[in-house]
Parts: sequence; structure tokens; C-alpha cells
Amino acid sequence: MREKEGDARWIGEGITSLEDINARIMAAIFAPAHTWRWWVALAFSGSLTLLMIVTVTWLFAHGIGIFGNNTTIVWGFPIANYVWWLGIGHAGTLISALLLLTRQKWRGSLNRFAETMTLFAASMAGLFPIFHLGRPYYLYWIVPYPNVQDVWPQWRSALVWDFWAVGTYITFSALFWYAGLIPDLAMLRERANSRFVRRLYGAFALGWRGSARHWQVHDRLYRYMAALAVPLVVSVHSIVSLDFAASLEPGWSDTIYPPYFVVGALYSGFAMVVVLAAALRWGCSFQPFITVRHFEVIARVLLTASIIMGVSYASEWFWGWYGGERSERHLVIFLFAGPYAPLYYCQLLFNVVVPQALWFTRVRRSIAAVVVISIIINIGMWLERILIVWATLSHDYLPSSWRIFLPTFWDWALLFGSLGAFMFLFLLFVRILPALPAHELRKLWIEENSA
Amino acid sequence: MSECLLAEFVTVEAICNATRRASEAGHPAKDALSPVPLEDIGKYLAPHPERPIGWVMFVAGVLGAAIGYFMQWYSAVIGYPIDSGGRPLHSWPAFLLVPYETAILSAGIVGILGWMWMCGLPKLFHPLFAADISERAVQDRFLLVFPHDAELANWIETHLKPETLHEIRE
Amino acid sequence: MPSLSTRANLDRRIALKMLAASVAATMARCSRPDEEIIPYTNMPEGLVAGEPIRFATSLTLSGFARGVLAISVDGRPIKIEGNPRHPFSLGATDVFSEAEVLSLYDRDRSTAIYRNETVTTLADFMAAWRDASQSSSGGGMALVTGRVVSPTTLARIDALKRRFPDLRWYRYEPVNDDVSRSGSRLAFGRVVTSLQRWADADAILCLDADPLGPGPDQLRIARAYSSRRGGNKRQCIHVAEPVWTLTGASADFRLAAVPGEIREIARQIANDLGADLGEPRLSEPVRAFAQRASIQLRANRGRALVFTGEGQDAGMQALCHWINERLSAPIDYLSSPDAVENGHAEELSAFANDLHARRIHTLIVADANPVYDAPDALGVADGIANVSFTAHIGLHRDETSVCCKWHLPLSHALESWGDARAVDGTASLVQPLIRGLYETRTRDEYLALLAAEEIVNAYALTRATWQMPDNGWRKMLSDGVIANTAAKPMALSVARIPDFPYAKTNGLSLQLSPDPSLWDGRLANNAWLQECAKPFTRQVWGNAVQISPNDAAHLGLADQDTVTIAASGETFTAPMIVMPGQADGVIATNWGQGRLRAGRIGTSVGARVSGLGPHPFMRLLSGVTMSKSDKTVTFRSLQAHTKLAGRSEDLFQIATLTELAHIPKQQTLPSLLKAPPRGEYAWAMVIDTDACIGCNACVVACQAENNVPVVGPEEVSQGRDMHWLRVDSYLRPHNKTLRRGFEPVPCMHCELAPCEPVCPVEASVHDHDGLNVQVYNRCIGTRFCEANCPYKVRRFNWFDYSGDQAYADEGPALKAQHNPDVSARGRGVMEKCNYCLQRISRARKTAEKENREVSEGEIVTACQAACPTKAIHFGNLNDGKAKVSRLKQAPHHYILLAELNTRPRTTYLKRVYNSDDGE
Repeated sequence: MREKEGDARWIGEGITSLEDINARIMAAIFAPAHTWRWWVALAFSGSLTLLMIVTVTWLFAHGIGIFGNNTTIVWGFPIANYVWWLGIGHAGTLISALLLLTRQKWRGSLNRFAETMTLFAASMAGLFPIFHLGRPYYLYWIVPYPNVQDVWPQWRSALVWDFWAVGTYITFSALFWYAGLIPDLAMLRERANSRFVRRLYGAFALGWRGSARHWQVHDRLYRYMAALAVPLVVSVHSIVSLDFAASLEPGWSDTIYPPYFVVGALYSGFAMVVVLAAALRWGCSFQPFITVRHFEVIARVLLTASIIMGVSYASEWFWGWYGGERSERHLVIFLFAGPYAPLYYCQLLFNVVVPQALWFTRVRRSIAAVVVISIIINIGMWLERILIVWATLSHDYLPSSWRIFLPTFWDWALLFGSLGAFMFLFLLFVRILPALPAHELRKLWIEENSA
Repeated sequence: MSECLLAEFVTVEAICNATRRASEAGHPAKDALSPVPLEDIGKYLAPHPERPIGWVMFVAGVLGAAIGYFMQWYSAVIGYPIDSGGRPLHSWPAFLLVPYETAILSAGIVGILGWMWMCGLPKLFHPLFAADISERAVQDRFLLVFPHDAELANWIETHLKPETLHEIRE
Repeated sequence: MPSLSTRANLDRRIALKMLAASVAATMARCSRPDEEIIPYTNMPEGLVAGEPIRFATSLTLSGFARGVLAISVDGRPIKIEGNPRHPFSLGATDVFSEAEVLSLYDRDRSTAIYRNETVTTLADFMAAWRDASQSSSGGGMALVTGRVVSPTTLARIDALKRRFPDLRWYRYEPVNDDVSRSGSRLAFGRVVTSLQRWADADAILCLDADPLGPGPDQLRIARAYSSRRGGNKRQCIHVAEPVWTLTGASADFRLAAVPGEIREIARQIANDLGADLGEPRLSEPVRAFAQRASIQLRANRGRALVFTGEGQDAGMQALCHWINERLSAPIDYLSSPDAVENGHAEELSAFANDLHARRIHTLIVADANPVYDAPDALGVADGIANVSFTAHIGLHRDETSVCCKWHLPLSHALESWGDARAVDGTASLVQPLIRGLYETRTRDEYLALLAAEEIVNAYALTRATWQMPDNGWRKMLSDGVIANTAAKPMALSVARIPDFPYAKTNGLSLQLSPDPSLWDGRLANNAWLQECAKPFTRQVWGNAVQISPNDAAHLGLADQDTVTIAASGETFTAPMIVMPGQADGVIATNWGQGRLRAGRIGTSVGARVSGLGPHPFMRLLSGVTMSKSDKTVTFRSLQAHTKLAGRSEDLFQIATLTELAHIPKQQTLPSLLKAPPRGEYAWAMVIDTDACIGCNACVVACQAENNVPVVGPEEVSQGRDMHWLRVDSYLRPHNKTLRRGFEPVPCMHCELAPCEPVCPVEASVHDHDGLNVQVYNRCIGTRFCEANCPYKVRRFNWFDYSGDQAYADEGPALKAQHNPDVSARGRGVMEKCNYCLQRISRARKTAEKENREVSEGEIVTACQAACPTKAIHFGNLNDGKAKVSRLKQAPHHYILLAELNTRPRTTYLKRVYNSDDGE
């Protein structure tokens, strides 16, 4: 992403010293502006979180019959939500790691909150496969542990792979996130205004004092972890795609699935980053750090991804037809002409057509426009996931079993509940930890001003 | 280092020059404290053993993968052999994914722990914290740490021209 | 359990307490009756606990017996199977007899004697009865029953008539043979039962008749039908009918025609046989059909059969008798076991008239439900209200019961001693499998009490009918059939050709027929039957109106619209289903739904159509009107799509005899995986879709054998059901005609099962015999197995269907029905067909005890045992001589979804037609 026109700086006006950077970032925690907005948002997301808790309680009390699933379409919202959330959870680590390795300067303004987004989104994702189980209390049976019956997990199952992939991903992302957080925790320790808070931050800062020797090893550790994170991210959504691809259902068993899922994941993930970035910029007055240019580069990523998605969809149709398998062909027809067709057209519109607006510089440079498009993309990607689940199961090999999925109130409750919970966690995060990596911005500022 | 001198600098250039001159003059700084990582400042500081963090992570990764694969092979072939859809007991292609994840997982965990161990962290109290200036070191100031010694102090004052010079003693 | 009858006038509260207790105590009361009952095979020395024993007994449908073997475990009947020695079972069952075992434990059964709404005692009733009848000679005294052919019951009625000479006995059966009775009276001058020897016919023509359809004679004819499938000496079956029937679905040549046109076909054929009934009024397709049928029949004199049904009139029946005589058709004419001269409708109308004319002051209704059965026009309910003494004897407190002052609880057939006769008069005994669950009596006992006979115990009464020494009696009990009791065929000849006027057709007509699952409605409270999908619409929990696509288009109605139908002043509302292959001008629906007082399960499900019409039991109402209703009644079905979206070639495969000769054998596709080594046995199943007539007996049998729960109407609308075995119904356009077929789909037990590698916890695994088994305890409910099952045969417990979230909580009584060899599945667990694993392991244990191999035919799965056409074959593939091994080599053998190469153990035989142009 080489910058041709204009100023090559990523840190905007109004920053004249390292202290300016520290002050602005710390202000979000110790002296927040417009707190009432924050409280309103917290109350809203809190009530949705409550809805989620109620739903889950009801779910465990009555069984998953409360959802719309039926004999034919045995998977429904939970699986789609799982894939969707995990997709969102992909951008953070990838932005952070990939941009670090490729030495992209605009990384610094995004990676902290993007990684946090990853953590929370991946945690949300991790919950859904549990909620979707018939007997969630036996979840631990897919974990290998010595037991008297000498029974082990069935390692050929994509669900077991899921468990390891997602488990690894969440743990690893947390470590990576924490590694980057330590120097900032040290600063928080020094700026904390109460003794207790000081000790708390201090404990997590592990006694970091900015020693050159520590920096040296830390720097290498961080790069190595980044180097591991990239293949990890790619593997995780590839494995998730195997939940479908490693079956023999029409429309699922496609070799294109892994790459197609990974790109889709980044797509929705970047879209979510845009939304959060705009929210932070506005809510924590991070204008100098999160500039229009940041939105513009992400817009380019989104545009690229949207084209790849378009190609993937087209290839699905082509291979469905060219492969000649009757069920595959009927499935494509079913998508365009079946009862889900309106949703499918929305999916294509939202994921492929609308983002083409980003070809225009004016759109890319308008934060509002990019945010709106990003939200549309996220809806589109959710539709894609639910349709992957619905279309194939509704319309597979035996016409006698064809049915339609009718969502229930609880399906929606759990989806929006999880959105609320995600928002709730994120709101708490911006008031507890620096949403931007101060030490990296310092470094960036020094580089940009030493020249 | 219960007793030492702390020389404060405001800019990266300043501390880098100071470090270089100090080591050329034959009394290299023991350590440098900075709010941002300083590239290749290491070679001007007093010699210090190399930290092979990369190797540690690599070995951990390989071990992780090996353990992951062995666990599957043992449980599927020895521990609980069953006919699952006519697939061979040792379905190696299906068994490749878990090791991939365990490798990355163990490399990551061992990496963090290794780094703490190499840096002697966590170390919640450090003598340097006694000096108020040390708290600027994680925010916007650059400090050089020298052994405590009167002549050295004068030499630092005259040649390195730090912003301030503090001494820490019990 | 204190007996109710020992307590004088107890108050309602105590009574209810005791009722609750009686239900709770059911488990404890599961014990053998006091009298000696004799198992089917020779009496075992010392019964082994938990060992299932088969007892021969009889279950009746519309009064006629089908011999069954009731399987009893520890004194609890848990399953019904056919009695091979009984000519009207031949070892098979129908849905009705399979479901009786559930009716036995029905929680809504009436358990006590009622005076109006209060529980009372037999003593009270008898006192009241004596007051009402003492001085009477039976004048104004009426007895209403269904069809009675049981010798013992007839003896009771005679006794009652001796005691009350002027007693008037009305007998009627809602599903009856009125038309054929008067037809035979026209033809032969007397009422006869004609018993067609289907197997001896080469050419068969059904004119608006459904011999393969449900009924007391279904099993016999279905077996004969299947005996002529396969092989090259096949029958040629022509069927002309307005609405799809099981017979029509099995025809080589089927014509959809309105009853009027069908009548003309008969005229054509009669003329071809030398009658002179005037020029038949035939439109083109009908003419072609009639001519081909006529040629076929005449070419097979002596081996040709013509059927006609209750939907036609007596003249038509008589004409067909004449045609059959000309063709010297293989038919036995017997004197009907039903000795009553009058027709059923006639009797019911007479009863209604006598009620309104106040000619009845004492009324006994014994195991009949006239208030539901009779048309509203007859106003039976009001009539009964005017009668001073009314008593109802029945299993339930039904519509009639609540109109009567007294209610006397009836014992279920599986709790009763008695006897019965089959359609041909073959007598068989009814022996109880269990002591009465409640303080109930049999119909014979009540009648004996009413007649003040000295013997009032069913066992004694039955033995009195059959004067037999103990050993003879034992043999009769264990056989279940009484030798040489069938009526002897008579030599009859048709006096003359009846005059055969042209029928006039006016407008849309409504055809009514018994419900394929609920019959005439007396089984409406049976959850298995309510959830048993009707063969063509696959509808459950309700009845729909079927209409032809043209009529629907003409009336501007769409599939599954709710419609209101007005016929002879009455109206009803029901969902409408567009049925390709139905004749234009005829709409159709079933009796048996819309019960007002059936119980938790059956009350107000579907629409009641028995109330229509000026006369009772009309099969065809003309001049009906139909319009879209503003109400919505949901159409609940287990199969949304019966049309095969271009997939028919490989899903519902058909072949003609000529093709059979040179079909290339289906090759097994190559696979990277080498199939796992076979164990001692390799169980496999072959299902012959050519023999299958879609009667659903296998579905209910599977449900009974494997404790498969019902889910109820709401869950069905959600798209959920639990049947381990479903019968897919397919409609395949083929060379200008519609081919109908049924495909029973149990688990395929694939050797390369897609469901297994995707299970994360090894709940779905293969066992050493190559069975794909489901380990319920291990299942955590990811449902990946069902998602990846191309046949979608797995079923998931979305709720605790067999536990505390069961539909219409059937209570402890139902648990007594459960098969102790099959574990009940809890919430969140996947389940599916396992080839009746419990039967396999039982057989293996026995074989191992006698250290030998399990031999061919030793294991019979529940579905296989039930099948009247022997369409389901099960056996050991390792045994090259086994039937399954041979069938898998057959030219018309095929694998469902073979292209997926899952290597199923369950495979199919193609539907075979004589020729290709079935128009």
C-alpha cells in the first residue's frame, strides 16, 4: 500500500511530543470525554447481554428444540453465528501480525483494538458450538483426557479439529495481545491515580521498565509470534470451512471452501474494524491517530476482498453446473429460485455489488460512507453463512426430506444477545486498557518526525 | 545493581549518541531504559549473553506437533480402535490438522514464558523504581544506567550532557 | 388396589383419588390374567423373566377378525405381530392391529362406571337396570352395536332377546358393505360375501375399488398380490378410479375417471361379453382404457377378475357379478357371517327414526358411537336425550357416552376373553394378555349381566360357546384359529343382467372414504396412528381435501389453501391439497377425524365429515360447492415434496419386463478406502419396491418395537418427526402417465458411512457385524451425523419426547408398552434404525448357547414381520445362499444414491411394470 499523493504521515495534526500521544491515549481511560454516550451505549448493550443470558438459561432448561431447527435442517443459527463471529475474529490478529511483518506503518493505529475485537469475537464464536449441542454438559468429551472407559475423541471429525483450531486461536491471540500490551501496562502503572489501580496494572505489567535488553528480546518474540499468527489465522477458518467441506452434501463438499472462508473472514473482520475504528475515533477523540487515510486503506482491502468473494460465488455456480452432479445443479437453481432466493440476492448485493462503490476515492475518503458499507457487508456476510447452512440442508439428495427453516424468537434473541455482549465487553475494554498501542505510536511518531 | 547512576535524555538521537560515546570512552552503560524500542543500541551497552528465543520457540513447536500426532495415533490405533465409516485406524491425512495447531500453540506459550524467564520477569519491584525519573522511562524519557562511581558521574556530566543525572543508593 | 365396585356411593373426590391411583398402579397391575392363557408355540416350562412370549389372539376391524400374535414381556403386551396360521393375517399386520397395543394403555380409556358425571358402582347400575327392565318384555328397549359376528356375542344377544322378546337390536358399521350386499341381492337374490382369489387371476380390473387398501381383507389380498410380483408370470392390473388408492398406485394401467365414466367402462365390457346395455358413453381416453381392459379380461377367461367398490351403486355391483360369472372369475361366494338382513345405513336411519318417534325408552349402546357416526341430519344426539334410560358401553367416554345417563367401561381386546370371526367366517379365540388394567368388563359380560344370565364371566361364556375338552381348548388357544370354521363356497349363478341405466353427473362431487390410519374414527385417540402419514398426501394430524390440478386452477385455489366445502346443507373446513392424477370433478377426503370427545390425542383434530349427507355413510356426495375459507387450517405432513425434481431415474427406479432382461448390473464404484473386514455376520436388507403397496404397517411396527415417541402436531409443523422408518411416496411422470411408488427408507447402514467420521465422540460407529450403530450414552448432540447423512434417516430428540416433555403426557400406562429391550432416548440425543438390534442379539445369544450360527430367517425385523407383501428381506450377506445375497444379484436390484458410493447394506428392487405405456 504505497502512498503517492500528499503527506506521507500517519499521525495527524495536533501531536507535538511523545507526551501528547500518552496524554491522549490515557485520557480515554482516566479522563474520558462525553462519558454519557458511553453509559448509554453500555446500558443498551448490557440489556442485550441480559437477553442473551435469559436465552441461554431458557435453552438449557428446555433443550435446543426452542430453536427453529428440524429433522432435515439440523443446523441453524448457532452454526451460522459461530462462523460469522469467528470470521470477524480473524481481522485483528491478521492486521496486527501481517502488517507487522510487512512493516506497514498504519498498523499502529489499529492493532490493539483490532486484536481486542478478535479476542471478544472469537470468544462469542466459541460459545455457539456449545449452545448448539444437544447435551452441552458433555462438551468435555471432545477433549482428550484419560478416562476409565478408555474412550477418546474421534480425530477424523472436523468438529474436533475445530476445537483445537479455535482453542489455539483464542489462546494464542490472547498471548500475542498481552505481549504487545505489557509496555503500555507499565505506563498505566505509572499514571494510575489510586494505589490499588496502580498495583493492579503493575502486577500485569510484570515490572516492565523499558530496559533495552527486554526490548530486544521482546521485539524478536513479538515478530516470531506474528510469524506464527499468520499461518494460524489462515488455518483456523480453513478448518472451520471443513465442517462443511469435509462432508458429502451438495454445495458443501467444495475444494474452494477453505480459501473462500478465509477471505470471507477477513472481509467481515475488516468491516467490523472499520465500525469500531470510527466509534473509537469519535468516542475517544483519536482523530490524530485514526485518520481518513486509515479508512481509505482499509476500504481498499474491503474492495479487493469483495471482488474475491464475487469470484468465489461465481466459481460455485460454475462448478455446480460444470461438475454435472444433479444435486449440485439443483442447489444452484434452488439458491436463485427457491424460497431463500430473496436472502440470496441480498447477500450478493451486500457482499459484491455495494462495495464496488469503494472504487471511487471520494467514497473511500468519506468515513461515513465506508462505515455504512462496512455494516452492509457484515449483514451480507451473516446472510452468506446462514444460507450456507440452510440451502444445502434444505435441499440435498432426497426430495422427500426437503424442508424449510423457520427461525424462532430464540434464534434471533441469541444472535442479537451475542452482539450486545460483544459490544458490552468492548465498551469496558476502552475504559480499562489503552485502545491504541502507545509505545508503537511513539515509535511511529519519532520515525515520522526524526526525518 | 543496588547502586547506580541514571542519565536522562529527551530524544532518541541524544541517548543513542551518548550510549555510543560512552562505550567508545571505555565505560559503556549497563543498560538503557526507553519508552520505545531502540534499534541496535545493544552493541554499545556492556556485553550481555545472547538470548536464543527463536530456537526455544522452534523446539517447542516441533515437540508440540509430535505430541499432538502421537496422541492421535495412540488413541486411534492402540487406545480405542474402532471402525469409523470404514476409514483406516491410522488416517494420517486427517491427523495432520491437530498437530499443526498444537505446534503453534506450544510455540506461542513457551515463547512468552521463555521471554519472561530470559528477562527475569515478572519482577514487580526493581531498585531503579526508587528514582522518580524511572517512571518517565516507560512514557517519554530515555535513561542510561551506569555503575555508581564519582569520577564516572563527572565524566557523564561533562561529556554526555544528560538532561539530568540521578544517583541511586541504599 | 381397592375395587371401585366394592364401595357404595362414594363421593367424587374419593373417586378421583382412586382413578389417579388406578393409573399409577398400572405398572404394578401388569400381571397375567387368572385363567390359564396359552402361548402361541408349545407352552414353555417355567417362564423366563424378560423373555418375550407370543400369544395368539384376535383383533377386530369393523367386527371382522385378523388373527395376531401379541408379544408379552413379564405379563405386559408390548407388540402385535401377525398370526401365520390365520387366513386373514398370514403372519402380517396392518396399521390398525399394530396400534391396538397403544390403545390398550391409552390414558384416556374410561376406567369406571358413571351415572352422568359421577363415578358409581356396578351395583347401582344393576339396580337402576332392574327398575327399568323388570316388568318389561323389551318393548321400547333398544340395543345398538357395531357389526357382530362373534359367536359368543351373538349368543349373548340371543339370550337378551329371550329375556326381552320385543327388544329391537340395531347393528351398523360406519365402514360397511351395504352396496355390495344389495348388489349381491340383486344378482343372486341373497346376501353373499365374495372372496376373490387374487392369486389365481392373470387379468384384474378394478372399477372404483381398492382391494389392496385398508380393510379386514387387506392382508389376505396383499399377500396374494405379492405372490404374483417378480418372476415373469405376472398379472396385468387395470384400475379406473377417481382418487388415488393403494390399488391404483400398484396398477399397470391406471385411469383417473369420475364414477359415472367408470360405470360406462363396465357397460362397455358387459357388451363385449354379450350383454346389450346400450351404447356406452365413453370419452376418448376412457374408451381406449376400456377396450384394452376388455381385451385383457376376455383373453384370460377363468383367470380374470373384476372388482367394484362401495362408491358405485347396487346395479354396478350386480353387473360386475354378471361379468365375473361370464369370465368364470376365481371367486368364492360364501354366506356372509353377518346374519343381519338389513343394511347398515338402513339400520342407523331406522334407529334415528325410532328415537324421534319416541318408540325407544330404554337404550343400550354397546361399543358403538352413533352420535359421531350418524349425519347431523338424523339428530341422534337430541334423540338420545329424550330416552329415559340410556347406557353406553365403551372404551372411552366418547360423543355418545356423554349423551347417555350411564357409562360402562369396556375391556380392551387384549384384556378380554372372547371369540371372533374373519370375513370368511373363520373363527378364532380372543385371549387376554394381561389382567384388566382397570375395573372393566367385556361386551359379552355386560350383555350377560343385562340378560341376567347365570354365567357372567367372559372366560366361562367363551368356553360355553366352544364345548371343548381342555386339550382341544389349549390347542385352539395356542393356534389362535379354530379349524374348519370357514364358510363353505356356494355354487351361485346370476339370475339376469340387471337393468343398467345411464348415470347423470352433476357438478363437483365429494368422495368420502375411511381414513387410512384412523379407519372410521374409533382409533382417533391413538397417537401412533395420528402421526402415521397417509400414503399419498403424507399428511398427519388431520384430514385434507384432495383435488385435481385442473379443478384447483378452475376454482382459483392453490395448494394448501384452506377451503370450506358445502355438501347437502352441511359445511366443513379443511386444508386443500392438489393431487395430480385425480379425476377432474371429484374432490375427496376421509372419515374418522374431527372427533369431539376422543381424548387428549384425538379431540378436535381435523374435520368431521361423517355428519354430511342426508343418509348415513354416503361414499359420494354430488353437487358440492367449494370456496376459499377465511380461516387457516395448517396442513401437517411428513413429506413436503412428492414430485421428484428430475431425480426420478435414480430415486424411484422403474423397469419393464422387457428391460429387466438386459439391465446391466449396477457396478460398485471404486474407493480409496478398502472396506473393513467383515465379521461373523454381515446383516443386510433388501426392500422390494415392486411388492410394496405403501400400507404403512412397517412404520407403526417400527414405532412399537423401538419405543419411538410421537412428537405431536406442533412439532410436526416445525418439521420434526421421530420415525426410524419412513415410507417415501413418489410421483413420477413417465410416458404420458403417472407412476406412483412407495419407498420405505430405514437406515442404510452404509459400509462407508458418512455419519461416522464426522462424529467427534464416537457415538456413531460400526459394529463387528457391519451395523451402523448409535451409542446413545455417548452422543452429545452435534447432529453432524444427520447433516452429513444423504438419506436423512437420523432422528434427533429436540425435546425430551419420551420423557417429561412427551406429547399429551401419556402417563405411566404408556411406559408399560415400552419394549424393555430398547432403551428410551433422552433429550439432545440422536437416534435411528438399527435393524432391530435387540432381535439380532437375542437370536445370536440363542445361537451361541446352542453353539451354532444364526440361520436364515431366524432374525425377523419388526418392519419385515409386519409387511403384508413380504417386501422387506433381511439376512446375512456372508451366507451366499441367503435371500438377501441372491436378491442383491437380481437384475432389478439397485442402490439408493449409488453415485455417493456409501456402500449401503440396505438396498432396493426396482418397481417393475409389464409394459411401458401405462396410459
